Amino acid sequence: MIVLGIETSCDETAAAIIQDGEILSSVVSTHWLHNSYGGVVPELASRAHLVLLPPILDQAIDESGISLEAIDAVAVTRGPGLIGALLVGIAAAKAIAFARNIPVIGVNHLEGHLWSAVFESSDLKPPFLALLVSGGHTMLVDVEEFGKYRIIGQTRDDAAGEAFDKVAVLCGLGYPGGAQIEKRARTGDSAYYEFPIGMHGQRGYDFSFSGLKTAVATFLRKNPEAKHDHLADLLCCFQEAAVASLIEPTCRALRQSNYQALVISGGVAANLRLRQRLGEEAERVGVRFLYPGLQLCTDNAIMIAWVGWKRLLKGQKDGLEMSGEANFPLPGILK
Amino acid sequence: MIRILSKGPEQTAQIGATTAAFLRGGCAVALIGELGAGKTVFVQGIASQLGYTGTVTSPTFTLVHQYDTNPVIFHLDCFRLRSPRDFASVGIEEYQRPDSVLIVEWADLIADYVDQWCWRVQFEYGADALGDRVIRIDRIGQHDNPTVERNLLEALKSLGVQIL
Repeated sequence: MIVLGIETSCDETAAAIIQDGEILSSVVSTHWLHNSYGGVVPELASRAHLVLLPPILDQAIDESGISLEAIDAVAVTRGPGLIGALLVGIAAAKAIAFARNIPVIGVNHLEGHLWSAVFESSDLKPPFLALLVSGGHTMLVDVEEFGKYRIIGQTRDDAAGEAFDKVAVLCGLGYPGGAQIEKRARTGDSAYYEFPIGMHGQRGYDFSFSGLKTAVATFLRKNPEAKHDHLADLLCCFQEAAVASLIEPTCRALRQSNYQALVISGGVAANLRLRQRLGEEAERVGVRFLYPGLQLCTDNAIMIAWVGWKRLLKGQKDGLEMSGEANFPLPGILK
Repeated sequence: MIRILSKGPEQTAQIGATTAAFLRGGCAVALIGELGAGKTVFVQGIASQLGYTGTVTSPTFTLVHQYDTNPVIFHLDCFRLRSPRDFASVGIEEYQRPDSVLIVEWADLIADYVDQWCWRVQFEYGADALGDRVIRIDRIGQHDNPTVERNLLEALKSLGVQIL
């Protein structure tokens, strides 16, 4: 079965084609363009998606080696996301489905992330614990089976990726600079300063990053020279605290239940220090530790096509009246 | 103009909750202040006071959050935008409704594109202590009732907040 996936929920316009769970093609275009001032110029949302989606769809079909006629279904992100942005992808998906008389399936963007490690580890089986960490989301999800999820913890303030990006701004690295922190932190001294760990010593599985972000801001107000003299040390200490803020609630959750695996996904899952520390903790608890390849960490349409394909196998599809939902909840959510 | 001192995030949230009683449908609140100054915490106080039981998180990446309170809150964030055109493309007009409250973090960027500003709230780090914040609240826009700001000041006084 060949499924076309379309993703337009936020900054990325993406299309992908998979056949029986194997990737045939994947095209992603981000709207963040670097300018000569070291900052970024966002060309955001609906209009950018509108302009980018048609050529991206063409490219995804070209690179897949199949024709549009061979596609059996279209899966598209229904939410959560910006409503204007979502509607562009959904309109395209419905048009293709209507013209070709094939099913359209609305997919939850977060559900796509939860399963994105399946392409690296095809034997990924529930029950597993998923740590979804990106610029917009930070949550722990108990995956009981496909379509049955329980959000057991989430951030109370900032997302983890947001904390990385904002600390990068505080340190003069521009926006979005979160990914640079890992590289610069490598030569830093982790004993330079002790930043607070979010939700340290508390119960439950929620996360918090705003106190850490504010602690970095406060530290820099008092020690402005550290931005130049101790940047690597500062970033190293921030990263250690941020990683610990993710690890502590995750480990509490891991110990509470008999999971088969710990899976990370989302843009921050590309952080090697986080992967290393989570890997160590998973080994200690005795569960497998799985993560997606780089192209599946950040927003993409492969994961959307995959969830659409699984839902189709279960006989689920949506009608042409399906629309976008800014606050679309995960399906089959268990309390 | 109201200038007060918040002793930390809990008090900033309480100040937000107190302000919530002065928000009506069709009203917009501009929040200004550096990273970590307390803008999101302030919105957490407002939303919780208006009956929202979910978690209010920063909309920096997602740009817009909607809380189904009474009145409905649209929580916007302009931090990562560089031009007002970006918010036009997100559909800023969609969030200026007569029956909902619009709250905007990093509001300077779109100051000229919102018609219904009622309050402007500025957050500054206090001079010495870690958690102290100086909060300045101004009633702005073309509004009828001059007693509203005075009433807010009285409500904040009864909360026990230090007036500067």
